[in-house]
Amino acid sequence: MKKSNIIITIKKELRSIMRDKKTIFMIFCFPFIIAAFIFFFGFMEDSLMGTDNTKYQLGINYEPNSTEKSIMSELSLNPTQYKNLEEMKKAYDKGSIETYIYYDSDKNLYTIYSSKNIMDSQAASYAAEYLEAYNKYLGDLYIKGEDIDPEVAYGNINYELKTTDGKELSTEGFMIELVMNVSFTYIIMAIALAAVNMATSSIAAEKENGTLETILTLPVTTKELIVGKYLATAIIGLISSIIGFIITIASFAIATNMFEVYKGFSISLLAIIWGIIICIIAAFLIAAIAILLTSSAKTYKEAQAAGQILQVVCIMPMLISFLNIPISATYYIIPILSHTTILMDLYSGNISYLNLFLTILSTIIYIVILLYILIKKFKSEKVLFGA
Amino acid sequence: MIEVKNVSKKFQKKINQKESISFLADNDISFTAKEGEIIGIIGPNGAGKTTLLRMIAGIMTPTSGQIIIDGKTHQKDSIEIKKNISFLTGNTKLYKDISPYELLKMCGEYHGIPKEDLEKRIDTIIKRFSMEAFKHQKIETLSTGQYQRTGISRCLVSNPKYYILDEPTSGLDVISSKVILDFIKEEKAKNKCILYSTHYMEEAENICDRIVMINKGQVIATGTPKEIRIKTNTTNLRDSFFALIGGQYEEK
Repeated sequence: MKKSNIIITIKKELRSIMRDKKTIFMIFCFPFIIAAFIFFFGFMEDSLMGTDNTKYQLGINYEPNSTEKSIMSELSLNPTQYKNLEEMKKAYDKGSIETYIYYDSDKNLYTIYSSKNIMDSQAASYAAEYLEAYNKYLGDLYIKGEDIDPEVAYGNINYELKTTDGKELSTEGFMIELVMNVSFTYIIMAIALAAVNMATSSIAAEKENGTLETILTLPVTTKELIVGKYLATAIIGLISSIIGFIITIASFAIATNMFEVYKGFSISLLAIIWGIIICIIAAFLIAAIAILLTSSAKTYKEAQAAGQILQVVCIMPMLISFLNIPISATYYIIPILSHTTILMDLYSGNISYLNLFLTILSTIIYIVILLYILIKKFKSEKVLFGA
Repeated sequence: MIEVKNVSKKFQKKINQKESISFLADNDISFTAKEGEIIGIIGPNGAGKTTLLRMIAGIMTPTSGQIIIDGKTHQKDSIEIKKNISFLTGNTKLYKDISPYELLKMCGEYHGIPKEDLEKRIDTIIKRFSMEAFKHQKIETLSTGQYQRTGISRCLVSNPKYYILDEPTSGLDVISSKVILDFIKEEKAKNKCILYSTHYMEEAENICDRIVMINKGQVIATGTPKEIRIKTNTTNLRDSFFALIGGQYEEK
């Protein structure tokens, strides 16, 4: 193979794709969706958890005591006293309060009123939490009055939450994991989108436009041509993945200081380096799959349809993660799934060199096999001319 | 010299979802073409002209037979052969998103022409075809005439010994056709060998030194236009063709 012919082909493909606004938009703008998702999720979660200093306006028709006031304050509830139910209803309709509690002293019954709207129902759930906490406080007082130690009364059983590998399990960690999973799936999807677009225009569109025949009459072998096209596709996928990766890490780093839900997220330099390596090999593998899938297509449309298969496959790791299937070593040799899983591992702080080795080695083997098939396939006149 | 020896090309054609039939696009074709000659490959649509020229250009492989160019074959020295060949078809499509200058440069780079020589050569070609005004314009914005000139100029970058022109005037108006026919004459004067395929028999009669007449993948006549006319006792190649096929024509 002549290196100069491969370089000319890469230059030609890159120049052509860089002049296509749609592709440029896809490569450079698609990764920003990841950032938007990370910030949007952080904002939504914090709003729902009330950890963004949001005060929920609560209407009540009774005078709360100091203990009740303190519980309400802890739960971000800001109480306003009204005379009766009608007044509270009017205030609610005007939007002055998000929920209200009506106390019927005859029946000794508290009724919490709210709607199904997210903010209001969240406020109502805090109102219910306040009543439960106050109820427990009164229970404790009663028990103490009977000369019983509440800690002894309630301490019959003890429990704690831990991950299967013995670490502390927290809901915050779960949320970070969920967002990371979606973000890394997006990175892989960004590679697939860019690679499919590039592969489609570099092979199927050339066949459809008739330029492939022209180029084959020049002193260049099909092997040089296909390797050049593959490398150009991989470069585009690589640019997309690196942009996506940097944006993801930067977004997490910024979001950690902005949102409570991301507290506890940390990134080590080693994890970043390994992450970049994984993105590189993923880009090279996905580029090979994209070229292979689109190569049999005679038209741009056919190639786009074939490429969609790859995009669907890229979402699979995220869907599989929702099934909570225990991760085994096999995961690390299944292409695409292995990349999302290993990125997740790296950022959960579980760097396993065996799994990294399995992922990298299996990816290299897949790339070699795919390239072999690709070069063989392109010797066929049926593939080149549909003859 | 181009030597085509008993070349055949078989294809599979799908007739429905399950069945396919094989047919010979070219069957036992032989001829030679020397420097300074214009060889007309003529025949109706579907006669096998394009397949034959694709095999000579090295982008298709014959099922049987041999194509020898300057003593070399595509099986062994395809790249060396391609360096001496330029292939132009009537429906040659050029990259839309690059300029004529970039196209010429890319073709020259594939031919391994040194940078300085290439720049000089591109300058000469651009002047020859009066392309100065649009050399940096995107090809998709060119007029039909400018597009045609760009297509021909691409063939000249490598200064080839052989031109393979597959129906280059097909669908063109009189002015655009003249540009191509003038180019062919100029290159012949430089002792270049031109294989010129067309289904316009009058055009072939005027420009070609020798004719290879093909029908249904088989050579039905070879010789100078005059020899074929005399042999078939006709006054033009169109009548000669019908005389040779017995007046019957069925498109494949």
